[in-house]
Amino acid sequence: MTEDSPLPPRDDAPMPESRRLERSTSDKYLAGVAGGLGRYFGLDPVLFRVAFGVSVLFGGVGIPVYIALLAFLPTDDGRPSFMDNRSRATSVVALIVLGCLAVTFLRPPSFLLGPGLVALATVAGVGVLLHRAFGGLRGEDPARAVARGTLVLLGLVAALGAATGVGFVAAVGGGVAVAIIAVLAGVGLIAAGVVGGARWLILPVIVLVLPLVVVSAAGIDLRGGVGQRTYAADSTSALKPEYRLGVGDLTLDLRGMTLPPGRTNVKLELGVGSATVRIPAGMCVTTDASIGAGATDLPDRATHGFDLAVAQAAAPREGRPVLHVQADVGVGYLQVDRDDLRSVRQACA
Amino acid sequence: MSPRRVDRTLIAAGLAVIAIGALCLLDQLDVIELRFAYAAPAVLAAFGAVLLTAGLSE
Repeated sequence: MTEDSPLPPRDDAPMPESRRLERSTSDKYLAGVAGGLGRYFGLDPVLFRVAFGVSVLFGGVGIPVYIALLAFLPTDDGRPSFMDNRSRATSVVALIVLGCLAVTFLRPPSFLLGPGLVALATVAGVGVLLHRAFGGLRGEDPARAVARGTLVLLGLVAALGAATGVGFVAAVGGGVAVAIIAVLAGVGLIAAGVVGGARWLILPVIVLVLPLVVVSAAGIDLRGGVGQRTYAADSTSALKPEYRLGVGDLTLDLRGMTLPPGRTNVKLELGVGSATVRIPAGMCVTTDASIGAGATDLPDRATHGFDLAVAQAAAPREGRPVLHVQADVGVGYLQVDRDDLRSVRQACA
Repeated sequence: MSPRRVDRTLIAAGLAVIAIGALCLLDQLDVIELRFAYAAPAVLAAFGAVLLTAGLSE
């Protein structure tokens, strides 16, 4: 039995065709973008179609991305892209317009974390400019750069969506479970490090841990529903023991109320949003508020920032009616709105 | 068979995640009250430790 020796490479042998990102003319439903992406990355095009579909449903960012790929990618039958014969300036302007369009799609309420992406996009843009300044992308196939940018954008959207989901679970009472999972994920990273695992494992763990830290530090509690709630009370018997809302605007109108002598407590619990207590002119009000991140607008005092703890006390004379507002806000705004401009001391004198 | 190479960056990241996760767990159990004033520096320090480890491991 003889063993075939490998043949030396022949000079006239056809060189392997370089893989190019192109729109598919054979595997397409709209313009062949997903089919081309699937062939380029060796993945099922259905994955890209699902990703585009999901992104369209949740914010619509997939629309400008699809348009960008449609404009810049040639087809696999040799036809050039729409932007092939355009000037470089036209291409840059088109990309900027599509980028602005993408960011616009990401604003609330379509996508909760949309505004945050503006900052991320700015940082990413500066990074790209620096990279180009050092010649990193010079000469690179524009289609490949667009495809890479598309994947980064889709990955970013997916990561922010996952982080929002983790934060939501932690804020509706699953915080202990998420924290335990985070600790176990840390153990998993150590195990991966010992056996020489992949470093990208750090990224999903960051997506898990960061929203948990935000929810824990801000004390966000989303139990209590979503929406706009307005309550009114004209006597202490009409007051609820607690006014709670998960996300939204909470208004408590006490302008028609006559307080009995002594202290009357009102308790507000808000996860994310704004809480407003309206009180009549001359009412003596004291406040004990805790806000993870946000702002307060109280008689005599307006603050903003992180970890706000506001305690407004007064020493009213014996038997003077006092309304005491206890508020716990995760992220948002607390306002105590009185129909006059008297200070706490004047009102409680 | 080549020996497996221990990745110190992953180990540092794991330790940092365990520390931060433990802080969050204590907060969720109402043992401590976590605030941004402590959480933000802790997270940044964890990032810094991981980056330092990655840099020193190269």
